[in-house]
Order: sequence, then structure tokens, then C-alpha cells
Amino acid sequence: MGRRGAAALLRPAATGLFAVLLPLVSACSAPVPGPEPGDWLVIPVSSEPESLNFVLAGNTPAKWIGRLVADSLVDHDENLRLVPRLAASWEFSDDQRTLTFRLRDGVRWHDGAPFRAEDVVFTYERIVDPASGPNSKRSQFREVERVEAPDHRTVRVTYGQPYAAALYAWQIPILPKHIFESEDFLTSSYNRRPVGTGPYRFVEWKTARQVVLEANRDYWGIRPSLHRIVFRIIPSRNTQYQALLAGEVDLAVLPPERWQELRDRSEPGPWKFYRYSTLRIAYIAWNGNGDHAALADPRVRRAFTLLIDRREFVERVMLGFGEIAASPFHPALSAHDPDLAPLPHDPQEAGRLLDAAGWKIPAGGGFREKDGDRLGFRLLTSSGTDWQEKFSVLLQESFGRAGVEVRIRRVEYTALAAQVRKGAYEAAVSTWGLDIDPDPFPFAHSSQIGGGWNLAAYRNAEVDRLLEEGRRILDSDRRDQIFREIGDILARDQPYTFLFFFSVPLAIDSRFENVKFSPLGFFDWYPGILDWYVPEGRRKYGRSGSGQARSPDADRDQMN
Amino acid sequence: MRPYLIRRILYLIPTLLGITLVTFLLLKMIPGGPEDALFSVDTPIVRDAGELARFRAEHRLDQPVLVQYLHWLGRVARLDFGRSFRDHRQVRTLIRERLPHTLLLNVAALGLMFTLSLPLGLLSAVARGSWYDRLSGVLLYSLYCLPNFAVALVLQLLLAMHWNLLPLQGLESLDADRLGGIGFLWDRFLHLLLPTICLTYGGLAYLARFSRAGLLESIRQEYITVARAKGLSETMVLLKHALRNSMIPLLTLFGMLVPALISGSVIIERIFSWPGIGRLFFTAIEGRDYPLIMGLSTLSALLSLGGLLAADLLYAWADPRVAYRRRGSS
Repeated sequence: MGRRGAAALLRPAATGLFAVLLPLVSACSAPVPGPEPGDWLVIPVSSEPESLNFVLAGNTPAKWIGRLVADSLVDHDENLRLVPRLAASWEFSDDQRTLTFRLRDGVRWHDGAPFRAEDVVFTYERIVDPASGPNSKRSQFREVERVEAPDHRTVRVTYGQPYAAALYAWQIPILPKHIFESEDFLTSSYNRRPVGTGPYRFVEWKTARQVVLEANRDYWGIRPSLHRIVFRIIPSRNTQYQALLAGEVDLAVLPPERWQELRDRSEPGPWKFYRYSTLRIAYIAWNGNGDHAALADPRVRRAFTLLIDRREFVERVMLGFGEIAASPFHPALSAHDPDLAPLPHDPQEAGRLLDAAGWKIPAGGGFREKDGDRLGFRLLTSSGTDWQEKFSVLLQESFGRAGVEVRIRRVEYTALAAQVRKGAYEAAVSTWGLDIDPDPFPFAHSSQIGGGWNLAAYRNAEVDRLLEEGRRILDSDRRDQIFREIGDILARDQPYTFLFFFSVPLAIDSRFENVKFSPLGFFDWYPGILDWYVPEGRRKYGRSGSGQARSPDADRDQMN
Repeated sequence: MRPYLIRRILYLIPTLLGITLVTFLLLKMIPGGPEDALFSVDTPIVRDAGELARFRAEHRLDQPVLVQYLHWLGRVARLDFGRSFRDHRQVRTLIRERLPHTLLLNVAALGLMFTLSLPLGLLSAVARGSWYDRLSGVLLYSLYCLPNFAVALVLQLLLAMHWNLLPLQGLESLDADRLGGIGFLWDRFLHLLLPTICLTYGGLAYLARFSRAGLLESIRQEYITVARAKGLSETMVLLKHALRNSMIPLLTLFGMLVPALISGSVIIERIFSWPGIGRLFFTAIEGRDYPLIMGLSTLSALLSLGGLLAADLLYAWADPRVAYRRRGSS
């Protein structure tokens, strides 16, 4: 055969042996085995994070980055069950007023310092500190009396009374005490270059352009398989769509028509198509504070809900990207009552109810009247939201046919929020991004009228009692039972007409494997995108970032 | 000239004061305030009444409007524009991060506009009445009518998506950090092209026809006849004499274009993901971020007034007939 022949045989043999040995070797060295890391994920976002201080900042990009750069004590898995994250275990005391967390060992901050219980206490203190300014996380800790760290691995939270939603609150990202204690919390430079314990480290933030994160090789948990995650700031949804087509971003939320178009093309493109439901609910708030006689009458509100053909709207206008809501409880939550059906579209029954309430169509036709007053109201919607514009017009039409006059007023979003908060409105269409804790206290309890979130000024002593009870019961089955009772009463009284929960049309580059969703999204669960990976042959971005797919050998060389 | 300059700069002060006062008053009249944008706008939570009161007290939102304005003014006099409600960063830092990008875009657009429109107008004037004159007129007016967001979308579709000639959006490519000096500049240049074209084409019609009119006007003047009579070539007549005088109306236009461009680039910045101040302004208004809105408005006013002043000064330079200094009786 000769030397050259032998060498020719040796190389493939060596490569073959190497290929067999390498996974074994890497499996031995990595405590958590996973697919070999590599490639990037480029995600478009419409706006910048408010800041990267995860306590202060609340907008979506900040929350997403917070999930990657920082860890929380607990989190939710694919099925919305609570799972441990920084807290290895937890338990409630017998009187249910004390929650004790046992923290994981060996967790380090990205700068190498050890993670300790004191960091949790510090984060809590910053949240409740009035000097931190407006802060949506604060309300979840109202019932907390104190938070202590008896030792470096234990956090003890004491509540004034048993608080049902205690654990939900601890999904907040934990911040490093050793970094922030000597800084001004509001203006620290670390709000632009965060340090966390999470699976991704912060690399850079080019204002209004991108935020770049890189995999944390020393992460205590599941090793992320994607080397880099880049959040590209692309304000225009249409440009995001074009960027997806051009391959400049790896996923995009598309308008429903585009999503269908792309998916149903005869030549499929390099994307996979997903839809996922969200906790964002569309609703109409009816101001029941008594200024408007008709709206204060539950029969009238019920009739109004019966006049709305939600099914038709979701099918035709939202192209199916919505789930009709019978109550404020999302179907994926255990608080949801499967036996509670949404009110159907029934104009006849609506007419009967309105007649019974005294609002009758006069002899000559026209709008319904009672004691000389015409039945009608002003509907506030926010301008610039496509579905709301269509919805309000359809509503006006169908209500008009039933003898109800609807006057539409389109207002800029913040102005709408102001009017509604002050109670200076009759009916308003809007959306809420509901929390995973289903407690409807903020919008259904009478104490929250006037400046709070009980926009409908809804007063019901039974509901108040149930809500108060629901906040104290830790047993989730009993709590769900209470929520179902509340849902039934709300469905009867209709202080709000809950329209539907939004579903999101998403397209993702097909090179990503292991893409899974919780019922509520692809990002907001653990481990979420940490499980995604790209098989070696299909990678687009090498670790150094060049835009061409690299050969498997080159990748392997890079990693060694 | 110098006393004129000093007088003009001094006039800026009451003008700016007036603009900022009116802006401030208008801002306070807009329905809704920062509390409607900052306090968990769209997730129902148990509201803490104290939080709102604290916020309003801290930012003096309950005091009389004029008192608030004077307070703002006092800080601005020390060049302190305050901090954004949203992320607590200094307003001047926020502006400094993004202003260069908007300026680059606008300067490029202005430059391109003038570079193209002068020769276009010149040729039209010289070839007055010809097919070229008529055709260019029609084309330019058609361009003027096209809304710039529509043109932007079409150009994106054609040049970026279909023919892959230019980048779709952004300031630079994903891996721009790895490019060398020349590569980096070239990458930036390519990204600058489309948004600049979108900002330029509309103004072209305006300026080209204006310069045409100005040139035709000056050609009819007596000094042109004199120049021709002196035996100068037509080119010399045009370039040396007619052109300079026809630039006068153009210069006044220049001053008025600056503010128009800054506000007009908001849409283009959004479509092309250009990290300028347009988007910042928009988000600030949505969020009723008073310090930031006042900072941006003041900046915008300054740039506009600066543009007008520059136009006036160029006007004086271009036309020596304009006397800025009294020399006894003239």
C-alpha cells in the first residue's frame, strides 16, 4: 500500500475514533450533558429595554433579558407548575405565615462572587424601598413583614397573614448585593451592564440597536446550547417581518395574514410556524359607578355581552388567533372552570333582557328608551390599534341593530388610561397582560375602586368576601374552587365583558430544534429557550459571528 | 456684521424662552400624565396610593405650572435637563447617544438634496422650455407627491429584499465589529443610503424648481447683460454671476428645511430601525416623560433657530447689498 496509502487510511480512522471519543470526553467534563453549544439566536424587539435593572425595569425586552441574565428563586415549567431555580426547596410553616427557602449551593455571580441569601434580602429591600420609585413588583410584597437570611443558604420570609400568592412573587430576578450596595440604585452604571447568576452573561448594549448576551459556561443549571442571543431593536413590525424573510433575524411575530401566507406557500421557506396563547386578555369595562343608569344594571351588561359575536370576530378578524374568554381565568390555568361557558351570541335573548330592564324600542322605531332617556353610551378605544378599530365599528353596528346607540371615541393610549383610571368614562375597550397568579382582587374588589384597577367600580359583597378568602388560602385546590365561584358570579354580573385571550402567530427559523412552548409562550417559562439548539451541520453563525454556516470540523476545532 | 451677529444671537434667548414656555404649557395640558404611563399600566395590581403621591411630590407635579416651569428653567440654566422618568438617566446622555445618528442622516440628506437640486435646476433654467425641462418638472413633482413611508417600503422591498443590493435596516451589520476600518465605513455607508434617499427625494422637487426659478430671475438682471456685453462666456456668466445670486432664496429655504427634516425623519427612522432621536421623542411623549420631552423640544428649537440664523448669515454673505451695519445715511 505504501506510506501515502497508510496515511490516507489513518486520517479517516483517527477522525472516526475522535468522533466517537469526543462526546464521551465532553460528557465526562460537563456536569450537565447537552448538545454542543454553538450558533446564535437573533430576536427582534420593538422597543429597547427600559433599563437592565431587573427590579426597576418592566417592559417586555427587559423581562426577557432578565430571565436570561438573572435567576429567580422559583419559576414555572412548561405546564405552569412551580419549579425550583435558585431555591433548591421551600416550605411553609404550620401557621402558613413563614416561607423558608433553602438556596442552591455553588452558585456564582458572573463576576465570580458567591451567591448568597443576603442577595435575596437585598433585592427584596430594593423593591419595597420607596426611593426606588414606581415599581410594579412592589404590590406582590405588600403582605410581607420581613425577609431575613439566617445563614448564607436560607431565606426566611414572614407574612402578616397567610398569603396565597406568596410563591408567585418570588419569580423576580435576584440582583447582586455586593455590586449594588455601594451604588445609587436608580442611576448605577450596572443598570446598563447587568451582573446576574443566569445562563447568559451580558456582553453589550448598543443603545437603540441591540443587546448581546453570551452563554455562561459556568452556569449552575442546564448549559445553554446557543452561544449567543442577540436582541435586535427593530421598531417597525413590518421591518421585522422583512428581516425574517431576509434571514437577518431568526424569529418574528407576524400579522395573522402573513403567518398564514408564509405557512401555506407551495414552496415552504426555512421556517417553522407556531402559535401560542398568552395571558393578554381583551375586555370591555362598563363603568358601573351609577353615573350611567343603564350600565349600572347587570341585566343590561349581560344583554350587551350577548350582543357581541366574539366567535365571529376571532375567526374572521383575528384569523383564529384568540381564545374566547368566559372569565378572566385563562383556560390553561387550574382556576379556569371548564363548565363555565362563555355567553353565546344571542341577540334575541339580549332584546328580552333589555325589555325586562325597561329599555324598550319606541313605537316609531329607533333606539331603545326608558323614561325618556335613550339607551346609548360612549365607547373609548385607543387609536392606532388595528383590532380595536375594527372591533369598535362592528360593535357599533351590531348594537345599533338592537337599538343601542354607541358613540365611538378614539383616544391615544395614555390618555385612555388616564380617563379610565379617573373613572371618567362610560365604556372602554382595552387589554390587560394578566399575571400567572389568577387572583382578580385588583379589578374586582370594592376596595380597589377609585384610583385602583377596579375600573368597572364593581361592588359585590359576596365577591369581596371570596376574594379576601382566596388571598389567604394556600391550598391550591381550595383556592381554585374559590376562583371558580368568583368566575361564576362575574359571568352573571358582567362588570367586564371578557372578550378573548390573544394568541400569537410566530415563525421561527427551522434550524432550531427542541422548540417548546408553555401554554403561555416560548419565553416565559423555565428552561424555555435554554433547551433550544442547532445541529452542527445547520449552524448559521459560527462562534466568532461570521454569517456563513461553518463546517462541523471547523466548529469542533474552535471548541478545543 | 459682528454687531448684527451679536444682536441675532441675543434675540435667540427670548425666542427660546417663549418656545419652551409654550411647549411646557402644552405638555401639561395633554390629558394623562407620567403616572398613567409609569404605574403598571396594563397589568392590574393592588395600587399603593402612597406611591403615586410620592412620585408627584418628588417631581413637583402638583405645584402651579408656572412654578414648575421656572424650576425647570433654573436647572436648564445650569445645563441640567434632569433625568428621564423612565430609566433615570440624564436627559443629555440620552440625547447624546442618539443625536449623532439623526444628524448624520439629516446632513447626508441635506447634502444630497443640494448637490442634486442645483445642477438639476441649473439645467432646467438653461434649457428652459425644452423636453428636458418639462419632463424633469413632471418627474420631480410626482416624486414630491409620494409619501415617504410608502417609498421607503417599496425601496426596501425592491432594493433590499428582491435584488439584495442594499441592507434592509439598521445602522450596521450584525458582525460590524469585526470589520476593519474601510469595511466598517463601507458598511455604514451602505446602511445610510436607503434612509437618505427616502429623506432626499421629496425635497429635490422643491429645491430644484426653486433654484430654477431663482436662476431664471437672475439671468434677466441687468448685470448679466453687462457681463455678456463684456464678452464673458455663457458658462462664466452663469456660474460666476447668476448662480451666486440665485442661491439667495435657496439659502432661506435651507434654514426652513432643518426643522422639517428633523421631524420628518421620525417615520424613516422607525422603518429603517435607525437609532436616532425621532423614536426617543415618540416614546417620551407616549410615556409623558416630561424632562425628556422638554429636553428634546429645546434641542429641536435650538437646531431650528440655528438653521434660520445660519441661513440669514449666509444670505448676508451671498448678497453684499444687504447692509447689516448702518454707515450713516445710505
